[in-house]
Amino acid sequence: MTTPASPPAASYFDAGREGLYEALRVRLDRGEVAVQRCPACSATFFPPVLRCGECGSPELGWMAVDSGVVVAASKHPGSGDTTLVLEVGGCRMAAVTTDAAPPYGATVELVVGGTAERPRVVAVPHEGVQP
Amino acid sequence: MTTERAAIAGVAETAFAPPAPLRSGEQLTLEAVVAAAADAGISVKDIDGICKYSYDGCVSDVDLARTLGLGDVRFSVEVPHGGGSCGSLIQAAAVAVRSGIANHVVCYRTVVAHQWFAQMAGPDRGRPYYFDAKRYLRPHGIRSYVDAFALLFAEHAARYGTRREHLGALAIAARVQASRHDNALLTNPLTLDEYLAAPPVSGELSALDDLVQVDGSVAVVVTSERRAADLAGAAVPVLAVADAGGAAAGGYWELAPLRSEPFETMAGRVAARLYKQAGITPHDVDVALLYDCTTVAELQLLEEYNLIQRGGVDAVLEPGFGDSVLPINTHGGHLAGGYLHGFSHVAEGIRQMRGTAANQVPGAQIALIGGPPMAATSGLVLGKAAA
Repeated sequence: MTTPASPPAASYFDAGREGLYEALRVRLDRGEVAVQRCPACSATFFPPVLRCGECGSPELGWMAVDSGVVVAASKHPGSGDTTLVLEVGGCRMAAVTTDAAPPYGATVELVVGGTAERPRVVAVPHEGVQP
Repeated sequence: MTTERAAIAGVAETAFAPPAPLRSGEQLTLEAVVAAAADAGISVKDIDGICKYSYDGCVSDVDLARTLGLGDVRFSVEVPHGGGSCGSLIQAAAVAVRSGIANHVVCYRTVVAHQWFAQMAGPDRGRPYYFDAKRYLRPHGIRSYVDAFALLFAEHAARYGTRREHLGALAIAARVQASRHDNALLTNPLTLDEYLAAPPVSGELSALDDLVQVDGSVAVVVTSERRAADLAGAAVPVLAVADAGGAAAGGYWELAPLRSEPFETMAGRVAARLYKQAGITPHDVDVALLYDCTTVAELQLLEEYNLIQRGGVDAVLEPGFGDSVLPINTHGGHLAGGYLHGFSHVAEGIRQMRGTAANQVPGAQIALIGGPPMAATSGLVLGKAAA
């Protein structure tokens, strides 16, 4: 489940990788989980990129995502966290959960967690029907 | 460019030892290169080309040339594919000797484990994507190649029913091979019960699914078949060599679980190119040397090289798999022999084709060497050495 891209697309080429991360941090800091989206061809990217690798457009926007489908889950014995790989709006992204590992194909809701210095995408159980 | 094939005329590897500050990477490299030249029957002064892994921080091409007093070095290449460079180095060297740019190209990889693993984990200005990994992957628990492979295994298990027993069969087979190989590190037998009882380090993977770290060096000398015929070493023809990368490779290796189809990798493209170039099918492979930084990587390569069907993992449970049934990593591989970033697999392929391997496959005519199943990668096919 996704929401429309916001705000308008911009070129991050001159901003470099540092600027790209800052653009995502702005969204994470306001509690928005997002992946990059190319307005020209609709390709989506995580981690973000400086230029659309599909159509070559230098203009890239962001797409807020509030849920994803689990394709892999792997628990870390030390921390107790479980790393998740999720399908979200045409690409995959990484997230983490401190709950029990959701099964393959489960839908999870995504929120911003972690610390102010080190935000991360946290998955929480979705209340809908699960596989 | 001639139609003449390239050949590997010399090979040498140092003793592989547990990581310890006993010998420097430079010492290990020099030992391997000098020995490879001697094995080929040439003087080190005859070396006129150098191919190395980009991330080999042990000795640069210029230092090597200066220390060994190399003469007219006309070709020098570094390949940045990590473990995927194992075939790429031979490809670059083959291009050089077939085009006449150089006559005797030395290719090498030295691993000093503490230096290499610190380089992989820490800030590395030579690999800008490190900072991407730090920002986007580390906070979510993808901190190492083992974490990435644990996620790949989880997805493989969900899609194909793969179990730890399948990975265990590969780990056990590696120990069997290592037990009969003098330069392998983990030579004690491993049982399935021991494998299954090992505590997890990431997801369902344990330390027994992971490579064994060593310090060591491997060097080979590539020349043309015509020149090789005049040399003392038993030259092994390069029947095929291929590389695959590009956008579909999905960027750096830590992103492998995030690729939209993580089990269709560049290794599959390399496999198709190798089989076509060499004019063979998977059934013609007598011995497979497959990059096994983890058991999961080896399992992926078995599928990508069509040595088993995708999802047909029960094949690895067949008694003798990896030994009498499709000999695999007859030197113990990375899992039990020692991690040399794919280049010890090349050395073992050469020994098999010369008929001098410790675990010699009787009558072997074709050796397949496959680089890792993540990011840009490469591979090669070697033929029987001339009598």
